[in-house]
Amino acid sequence: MMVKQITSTLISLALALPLLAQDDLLAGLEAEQADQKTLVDATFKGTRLINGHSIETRKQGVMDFIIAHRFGTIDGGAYELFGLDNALVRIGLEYAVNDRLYAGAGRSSFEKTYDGFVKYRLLRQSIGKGSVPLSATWLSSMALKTLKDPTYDLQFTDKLAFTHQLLLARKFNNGLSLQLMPTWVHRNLIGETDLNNDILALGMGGRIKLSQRVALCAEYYYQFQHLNENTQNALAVGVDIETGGHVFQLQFTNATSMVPKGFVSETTNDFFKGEIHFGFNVSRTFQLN
Amino acid sequence: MKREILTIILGLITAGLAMAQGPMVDRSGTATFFSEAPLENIEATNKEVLGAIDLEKGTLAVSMLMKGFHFDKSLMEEHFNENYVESDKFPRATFKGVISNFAALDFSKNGSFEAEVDGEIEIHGVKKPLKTAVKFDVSAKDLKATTSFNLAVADFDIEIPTIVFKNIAEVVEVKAFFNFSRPK
Repeated sequence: MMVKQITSTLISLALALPLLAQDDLLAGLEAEQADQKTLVDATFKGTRLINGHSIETRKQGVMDFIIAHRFGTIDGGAYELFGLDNALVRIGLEYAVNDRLYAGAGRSSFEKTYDGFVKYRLLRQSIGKGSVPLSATWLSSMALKTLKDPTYDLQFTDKLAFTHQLLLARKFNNGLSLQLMPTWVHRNLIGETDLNNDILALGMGGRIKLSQRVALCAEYYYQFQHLNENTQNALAVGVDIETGGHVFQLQFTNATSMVPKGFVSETTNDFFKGEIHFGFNVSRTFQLN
Repeated sequence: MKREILTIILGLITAGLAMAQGPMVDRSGTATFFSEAPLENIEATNKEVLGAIDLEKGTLAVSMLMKGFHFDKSLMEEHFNENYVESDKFPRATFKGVISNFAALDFSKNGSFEAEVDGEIEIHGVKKPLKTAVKFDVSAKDLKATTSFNLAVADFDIEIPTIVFKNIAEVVEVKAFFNFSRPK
């Protein structure tokens, strides 16, 4: 009797063992990976939030070609096809030297402006052991206005303006990312009616994903000083659509300029009076190596 | 009588302990997948795959981080993690199984042979049964295991939007390779 019981117990144990062992084997492997540090990707879809930069840079060896348009204000009505008669364009080429260092240059038709920027990822949000809760990227941008001024004989350095930003962002989950952008704009030379060479601003923005490939974005730059009495804070709302190697960003904004010193501190349109530009950014990436 | 049973049990335990070298683990296994579509071929490789084999029980287990897969185009890698397999939500792909013809195989002799493995694969939070042939190469210093099988992307609730339909295959070919070194 006793023997039988024991034997049957042993047999059932022996039969159950491989099954249990499979789970143990897998559990052991999973435990090894549980704490492994991984970087949080795709806080934003593009290197731009809307007008301004996001914390994102491209990965090493990627070239990004960006064409951006801002049309006239939509309060022009049907006569101007809601601003589409007037288009401003910026063409830019950017390159990722490595996974942290990113640089680019562009030319805007608005005030015939050339601009160049360098972006460096100081911190990258990660999960796991020794993780970092947010991403931080430094941006320095320089703009050269080459529109001829008939009244003054300006030197090269007089036409330069600089913007430095510390971009801080956190991807809270797959659907929500938020960003803060402390910003400093410096102009070498300002006009007679202008008040400040240096302007400090705080930008804030974020995105909500509507689906895997479509996201809703918003961005606002609050200025602590104004360039002159006419300037407004820049507000933008937009939609990001991603299709493989392209990112399309459609937006409504009161800003006219597409370079940081411009949209942060030279925006004169009032968003809430309908002085809104429709615009888009199209980004196409190429893997060079 | 009782004594005899006790002896048998003790004997079994001792034998079990003597045999129990624990499973062999490879921490740098390789997994690749290949997608062949009209517009482009996509290949990704993960070289940090964990694999374990227990040669007493004939069981196998595999676990890999989805973020360990690397692509030629970095943007593809981002889209793979963000849009397709949702690595933040489902960080791992795993497999556990048994060698169904284990009794007929001899892992102590050098040589190569095929084993039938029957188990369960989990990708993107979806579990599916999987049967595959694994080729083993046994030598004095190590044990190599190679396998390949096809997976239908749709089986794992991974949605391919129509706009990239011509870029991504519906069925991808998966290959895995492990090299288990023998304990010294």
